Amino acid sequence: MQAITNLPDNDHVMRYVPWGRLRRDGDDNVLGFLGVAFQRRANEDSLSVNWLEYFPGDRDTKIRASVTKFRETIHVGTKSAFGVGNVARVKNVCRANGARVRIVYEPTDDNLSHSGIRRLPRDDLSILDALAADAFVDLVQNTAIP
Amino acid sequence: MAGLIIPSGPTVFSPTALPRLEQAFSAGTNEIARLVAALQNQPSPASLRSEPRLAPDEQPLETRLFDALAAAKILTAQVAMHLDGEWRTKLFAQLDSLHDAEEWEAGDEPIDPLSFQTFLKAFLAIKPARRPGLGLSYTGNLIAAWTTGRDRLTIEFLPNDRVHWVLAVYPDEGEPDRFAGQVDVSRLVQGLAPHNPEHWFLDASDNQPAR
Repeated sequence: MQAITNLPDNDHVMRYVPWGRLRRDGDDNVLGFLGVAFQRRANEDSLSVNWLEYFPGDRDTKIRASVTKFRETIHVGTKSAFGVGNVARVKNVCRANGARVRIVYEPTDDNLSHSGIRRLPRDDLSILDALAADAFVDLVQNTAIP
Repeated sequence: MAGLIIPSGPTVFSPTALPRLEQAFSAGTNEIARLVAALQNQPSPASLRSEPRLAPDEQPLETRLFDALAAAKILTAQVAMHLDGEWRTKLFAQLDSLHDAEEWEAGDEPIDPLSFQTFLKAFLAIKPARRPGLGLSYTGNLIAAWTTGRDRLTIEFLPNDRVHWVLAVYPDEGEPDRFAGQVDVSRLVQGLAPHNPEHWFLDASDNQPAR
């Protein structure tokens, strides 16, 4: 059985966010993320993310590599985006809103950077909104990555 | 005023009607009628069985998206007299955009008509001057988002007239103040009243551009 490995606090995770869960204004200009972008599905134990520091290179290279991995493993919509959050920041934001989450390395056969945010309440709108606004503070639009 | 209804389209002899009519026609006419009836394709035994209908979640994605959009637009049409025409046109464009098959994530549900009903009721109660951005939860609940600077109000419209809302207000320094509530849609206005609803719903042009 594989040992559970917590990701280092200084590292970062990246979450895929489809078009329908991007925060937009009334003219569909993208402003950020909706809280539901970070909502676990009923059949999920953890929220899926990629561990950015798994990939070599500088920050931009890691981001490109992570986006490429997403494109290889799931359907990535043209107008979608990716949220990047610091591990310690994600944990602190959740703790400030009453949840003590763990961010754990969970590699899969086709995605060795795959990780999960565990113990994240599924229907707590305040936590989900805080994650969207205060933890995943960097937004990378899919169209920005060749 | 009385009216005369004249059936249109070709008149077809029904084979079952022939015995009742044959005394009214000559032997030659009856023979022609029998020959015409014989040329008609009779329903095959297989076609007499009712075709099994696919469950909604077994329909092709495009069909499910189309059906959900159509249901939402029909619901909107029922209250069209209360909606500004331009507002309705843009709402339809937003709904179309939300249901773009190219952007669709596997496992997501298209908009739930009951959630959309709750949304329409909320809108008729609030009558916001600013149109919100729209989103969808993976279960098909419609979400409306108003953003003023960094401040954000998000409302999720649940089936059966319930709404969840959460808002965050950012002070000049320090952590944001965040408030959340869950109310019946008929009490949404009262629920938001202590939180300066004009801040979200009045027209403003200070939305941040895309990051």
